[in-house]
Amino acid sequence: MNIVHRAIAASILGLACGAARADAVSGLLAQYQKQGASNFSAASGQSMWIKPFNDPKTGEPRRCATCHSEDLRRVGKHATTGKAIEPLAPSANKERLTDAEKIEKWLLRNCKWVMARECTPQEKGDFLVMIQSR
Amino acid sequence: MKHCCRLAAVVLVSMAPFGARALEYDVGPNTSASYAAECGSCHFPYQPGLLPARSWQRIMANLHDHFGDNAEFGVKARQAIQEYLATHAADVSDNLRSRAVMESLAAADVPQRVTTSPYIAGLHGGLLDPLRGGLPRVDNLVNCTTCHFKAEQGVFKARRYTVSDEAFRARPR
Repeated sequence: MNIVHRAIAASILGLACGAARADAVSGLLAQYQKQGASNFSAASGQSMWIKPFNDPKTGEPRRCATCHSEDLRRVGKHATTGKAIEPLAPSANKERLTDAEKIEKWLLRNCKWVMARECTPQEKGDFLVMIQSR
Repeated sequence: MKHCCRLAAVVLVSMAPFGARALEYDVGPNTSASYAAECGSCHFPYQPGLLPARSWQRIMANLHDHFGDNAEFGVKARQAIQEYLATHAADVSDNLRSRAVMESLAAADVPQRVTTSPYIAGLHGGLLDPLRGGLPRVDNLVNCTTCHFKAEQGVFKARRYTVSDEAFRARPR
């Protein structure tokens, strides 16, 4: 496979991921609006991203950025295990936001880890539009 | 002490009877891609043959508080993983490594972590000793591949654990 073929293959993959991302995110946003959310704001998502919440059990402050870092284009680090977490920003990692089931799974787990409760549909949508813009 | 542990382990593993059928030495790779992907997203996906089924059952029942993390699943993924664990756990696996794990446990023991079964904890006690020399220095035993470079293939016999170890010095950094 020469370099031209590779470039074509990469751009097809990129386009396919882009389309899957648009589908997955728009589907979830519509679902969140049906559950009572209004317009979504990347700015609200960003301020929640860096906001610390004290864990009720340990008292330690937890933020989304604790594991994912403040710059979503960078590799993060799992707070407990230290395992590398691939960048969340679609600009740095084409596979992000392409699988609705996976998005919901991690929002459930990570909202509970950070805030000790589930995120509201509004909060989840704000996060998605913020991540999508990165 | 460290050497004693190692020696004990070798003796334990080689105590297995010489049956007609050759036993596998080690646990081998994970055969469930969904298990490796789901559990491997946060930590090394420990092969099920490193803990008895009763331990896996308890771990799966407490995923909402998985050593301080939330690791809940959807029902479908959860059932598939539960079945994989139940059918590949140490007490239903026929390899020397799983046998060694089981032989180190009393019937009532339900270790909560792979690294707390007496067999595995005993082998690694010296590694966490702050007075231990050599490299690599580790704070915990979460990432098997730091030393066991064939851990993904379920081969724990091969390891690098000191600066004098050629394999460790030659490792990609």
